Amino acid sequence: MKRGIIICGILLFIPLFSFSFNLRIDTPKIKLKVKGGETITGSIKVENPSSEKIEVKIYLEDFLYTSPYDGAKQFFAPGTTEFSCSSWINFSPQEIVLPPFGKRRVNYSIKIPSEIEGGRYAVLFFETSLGEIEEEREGANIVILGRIGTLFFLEAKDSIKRADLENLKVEEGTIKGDFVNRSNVVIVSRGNFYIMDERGMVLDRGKIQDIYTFPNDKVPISIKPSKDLPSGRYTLISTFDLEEGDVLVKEIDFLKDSLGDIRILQVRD
Amino acid sequence: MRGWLKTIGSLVIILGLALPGLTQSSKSITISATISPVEDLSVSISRIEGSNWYPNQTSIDFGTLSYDITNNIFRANCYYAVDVGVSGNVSDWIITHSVSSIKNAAGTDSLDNNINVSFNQQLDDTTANEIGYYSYAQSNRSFNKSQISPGWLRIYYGIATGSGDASGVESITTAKPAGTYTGTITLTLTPQ
Repeated sequence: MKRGIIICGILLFIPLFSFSFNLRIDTPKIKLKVKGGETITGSIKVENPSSEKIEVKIYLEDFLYTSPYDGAKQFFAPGTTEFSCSSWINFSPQEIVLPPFGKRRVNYSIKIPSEIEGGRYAVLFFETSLGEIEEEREGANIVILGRIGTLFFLEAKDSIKRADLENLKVEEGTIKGDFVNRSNVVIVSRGNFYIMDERGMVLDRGKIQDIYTFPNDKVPISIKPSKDLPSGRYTLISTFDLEEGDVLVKEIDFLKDSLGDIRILQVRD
Repeated sequence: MRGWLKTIGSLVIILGLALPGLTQSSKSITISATISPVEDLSVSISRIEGSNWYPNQTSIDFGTLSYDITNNIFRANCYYAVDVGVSGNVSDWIITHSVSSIKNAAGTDSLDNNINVSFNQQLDDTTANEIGYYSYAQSNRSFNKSQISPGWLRIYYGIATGSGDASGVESITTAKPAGTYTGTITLTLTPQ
């Protein structure tokens, strides 16, 4: 019985294919509400779960969310973006060698300036490579680097999330608009909608795409009411959960005519 | 008769000893376990020649390309598969594939428009869904957990063949200067 459990346990952890390098961390995201002048310290565990030694380079970069704003990021040199906190973070060591199945803690300290407003962000990368290009080799050669990032989200304790839904219009039976981050912090929105007729009966409901934005980002969203809605007057209630109890709600009254065309009548908060 | 009495007596003694234990009120046993947060990135490279796979490569090395005198283009005798596995229990994740130009030593020419890149959601060794097919130059892409799971990301890299190439990919002709071309691909894993 005991042996069976051990064998099952081993089988569960055998991957479907063997890997050439493997890197693991225990803290992919550090999200803190901070106040001016404070210092925060902590550590991140880095592991090599493979049977080969790996060298890990550790460094900071800035990041911004990028199109299609589904969490996709663009990375920049540290301290080069408007919302960077790279210069506030110190860490040690900057390079480590992990033996097979070895682990090590990387310590960090964050020194918040005396005054902070809104949010500041950075990413600490743990990078390793499979090999190096031999200079003498002929032809076309490409080296592969792999890295895992710990995202830092440092936001002032009194920061407020504000977002809006703008430029609402109808195109090909779809209600379109722009989700705009009007605050000075990152906003992650998870939205949904439902459509009621004049009697208050819910005839359609659905999900709006998850949106990841930095301040002033404008992201197109679209809501397609069901084709089965008969002609008539409706109210679409869209709700965007901005996390930590903040919510954006928009009510859109619209008319669907006998030809199936949709016209927005009124938008309310 | 005496034997029976002995047996019954013994049973009474045994039950007398055991009953207090059996009649005790039930006890709760607390079971606790802590699952550590982890985010794990695994990468391997395989060289493919015909139907033969050679795993555990350390880079993508097309070697010296051979000249096809019939079609007047340079060809490689292999292509590559890079398997990217992610496991984590902290949050949804996203993988970013970013490339640096594959340039010659002088930095005057590149192979960025001569290599096909195919992204696949690999469900098992033989079943896959292609989720993108681009030129190397256009292969800076991101893929999130919902596009890859269940399964893993497999990326194929191949020199243009003149047939079935991705949009914007051209065969390598004699117009391309001879020499060694090198580049870097970075696979980045972050929370979404």
